[in-house]
Amino acid sequence: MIDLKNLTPFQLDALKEIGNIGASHADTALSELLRKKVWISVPEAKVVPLDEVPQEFGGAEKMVVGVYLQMQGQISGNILFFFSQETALTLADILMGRPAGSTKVLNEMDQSAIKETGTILAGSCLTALSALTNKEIIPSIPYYAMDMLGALVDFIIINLSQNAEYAMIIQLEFSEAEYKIDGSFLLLPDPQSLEVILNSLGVG
Amino acid sequence: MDEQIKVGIADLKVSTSPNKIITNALGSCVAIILYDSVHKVGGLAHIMLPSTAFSKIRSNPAKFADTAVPEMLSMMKQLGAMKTSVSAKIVGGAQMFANVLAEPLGNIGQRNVQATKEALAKENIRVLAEDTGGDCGKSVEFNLEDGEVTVKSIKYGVNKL
Repeated sequence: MIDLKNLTPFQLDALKEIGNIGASHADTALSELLRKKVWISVPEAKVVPLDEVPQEFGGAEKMVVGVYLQMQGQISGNILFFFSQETALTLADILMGRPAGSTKVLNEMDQSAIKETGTILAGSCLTALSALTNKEIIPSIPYYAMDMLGALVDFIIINLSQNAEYAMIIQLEFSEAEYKIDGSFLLLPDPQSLEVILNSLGVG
Repeated sequence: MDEQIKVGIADLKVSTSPNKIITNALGSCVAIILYDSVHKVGGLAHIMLPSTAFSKIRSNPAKFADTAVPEMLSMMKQLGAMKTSVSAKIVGGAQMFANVLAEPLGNIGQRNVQATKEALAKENIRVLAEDTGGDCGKSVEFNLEDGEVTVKSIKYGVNKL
């Protein structure tokens, strides 16, 4: 099994490149969906001790809306797309075609629309990852929750903790200026799959 | 002066009255809270997995229900606790994203709660109260002065155990 602590800068760059290509796909998909120009930051690929994952993204108690998907197939792992409650309400305004600021509570339809956004974002990133590695990857259906970030990520940490002390995270930050939307998109491959990814990129 | 002691993920702390021990944002993880009401000594463990059988990395006793309970008991003894006057409260073990069927460990929250109860039964420690299961995150404040446990969640507000 690959030792996450010993990933070389070269390997991390290769993983970042997955983020780059994923980002350009996601950028287009999200901009089309929202009919707004969405900016996606330069991706980061980082190795974080499992117990520090919540701190890395704003703290365990931060209230967020999250969409979770599982990666299955030849590459497995976790995808978490999360943002503030304000962004969630604004996203619902845009997706449901309501005037800005009119959504106060997220109803079931709004939640479905937000889940669908997560699916589209995940789909565009996984298409990129699949094309780069030539591996089959299937996203699960999306799951929605609104709670403390630490509580949302702990079962992902639990899953990873069976085989590792660290998580390798590819992170994209997205934002839209007019409506002040921002959020984070995280890809956390399982340790076994990370090896598959690195090998198929020729940097194993 | 009372002190607030923070417990992270896969972490445990013990202390005495009048201090408070807190842990935040439990999802599928479980907070095991032990209290000796006679000597006013207590401990809190924020465990991730039922037992050492679930992980290849086993060095940290605070990570597993089966190792956290005896570890906490022996640390509490050093602060003057007597095992016969220790009782327990349990918080957490939720399933945050309801029905994630493909989750490799199944409903890990439920399994953590079950394993915690087994580990406590093995030491003959009674469970006085629990706030477990469901689908929401919980934060815990444990007051060592009287053993009261305050659970906070966005769905249900404040619940005292």
